[in-house]
Amino acid sequence: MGIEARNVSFRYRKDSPWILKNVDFTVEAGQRIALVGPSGYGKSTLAKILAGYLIPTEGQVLLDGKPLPAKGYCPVQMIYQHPEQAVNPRWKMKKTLTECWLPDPRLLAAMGIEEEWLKRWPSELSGGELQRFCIARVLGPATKFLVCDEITTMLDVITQAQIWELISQVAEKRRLGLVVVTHNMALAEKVCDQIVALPDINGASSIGRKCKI
Amino acid sequence: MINDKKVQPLLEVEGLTVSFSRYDRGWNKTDLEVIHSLDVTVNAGEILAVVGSSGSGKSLLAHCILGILPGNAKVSGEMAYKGKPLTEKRQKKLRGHEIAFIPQSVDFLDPLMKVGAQVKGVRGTDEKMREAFQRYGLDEKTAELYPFQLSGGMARRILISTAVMEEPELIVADEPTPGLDLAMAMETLNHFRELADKGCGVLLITHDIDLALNIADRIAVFYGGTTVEICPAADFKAGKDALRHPYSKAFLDALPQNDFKPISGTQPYAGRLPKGCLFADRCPRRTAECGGEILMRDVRGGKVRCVHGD
Repeated sequence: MGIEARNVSFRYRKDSPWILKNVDFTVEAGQRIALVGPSGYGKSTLAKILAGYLIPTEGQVLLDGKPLPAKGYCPVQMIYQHPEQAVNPRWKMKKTLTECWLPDPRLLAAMGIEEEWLKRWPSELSGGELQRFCIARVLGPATKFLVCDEITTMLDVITQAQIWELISQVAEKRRLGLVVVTHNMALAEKVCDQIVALPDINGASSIGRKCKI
Repeated sequence: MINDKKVQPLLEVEGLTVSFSRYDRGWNKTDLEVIHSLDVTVNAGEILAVVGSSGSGKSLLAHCILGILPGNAKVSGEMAYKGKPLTEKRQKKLRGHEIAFIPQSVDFLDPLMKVGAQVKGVRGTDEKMREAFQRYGLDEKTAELYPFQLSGGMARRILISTAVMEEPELIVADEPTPGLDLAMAMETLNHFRELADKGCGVLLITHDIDLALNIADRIAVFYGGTTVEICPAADFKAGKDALRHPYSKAFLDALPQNDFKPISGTQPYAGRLPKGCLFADRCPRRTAECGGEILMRDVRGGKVRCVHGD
């Protein structure tokens, strides 16, 4: 079981520069890979391609050798960098949270989600509070892979440590594959078992370097 | 570089309380108090880093200083800028001009306007924009893009550029560094240091405490809508024994480069605050005294809101 990006390249328009060029990237079930690199190198773009939110200009993304499902629940789920842009502003939080599964109250308590928050609009919660909803809503049983794009930068360090402890527990128990985009090397080293740096595509190397830690 | 107490602080916030009026059931309205008796001062030439729990009112404090809270917010307490009360009229006059704001969310950019025009604003010039873009490693062509075409880090640098277009005397920066790589984040913070050395006051709200420590003069720790500790930045560098409040100590322990060990529990919900110390239910040093009223005390050159803090 794994996601495989095969020779993926991406650019927005025919005349715009490449953001990703010939990237090969695989994640197996149970594997935790950190994706690092300077801002603007295409980390978030690769994350969106892996989760099926962007179609690569060239190459393809395969889940167990088959393309990602076009219909129904996608086993590869993504958590975004900006939670305020990832929730429907006209839905109350309860609807957002229960869109694809019913998280049990124990999980909500562990995530630090207050019951009162379910009755609120997204604009009435802080970024860190919203992010907890975005994480809880994708931890459903059908999720096999999680793509986490800078998901805890807006949280305080205690909540950050709590959330990574919880995600690590869930990932271990259910053998989820994790792709973690981050700028925080200390976090990457604590959470992941492999760190991959995206190359500067204007430079010499054009294939993702892998380094074991 | 902590200024002498006799020097007039640039910004003084005293006993600030912010509450939101919300519909409860039917037509009933209830007030939810989200910031309570909060005191903060920022001196000219100083960087005050504000750290603390998510949802502890850090961003609300920033919005309150700028006067951009939503209509259902009620504010009481004293705010003074350069010794004079910071009224709504003064806020309107000063903001974007003498008081610059770097918002936390990239949502604050206008989605239908090219970012170059947004950076320049009303009073900026092309030259200043080029200067800012160069400093923050943005290509000049970026000015022609719309916000949706930017990466998270680029949008962040655009927001920072807007704030330095004029010569602000107080910068309120609400988490300016997430999404930036280490080099760029440090460049941003060093720029704040440079501005502060020229006499500007900076209120820096951040979760990247390890980076902020390099440039900040003082640290204010927020929890549950109030300040629990204010101390020189050196105390945070010295490690948890130099800190006064148990929450600050737990904060240091949870850093990924330290133990990455969270304490259990969550910050109390604003509608169900306990009597006495807000941190009591998670505190290892809790005693019967913690149930009473807890006042800010001066301890070892800092301030702490804890009966045990030493």
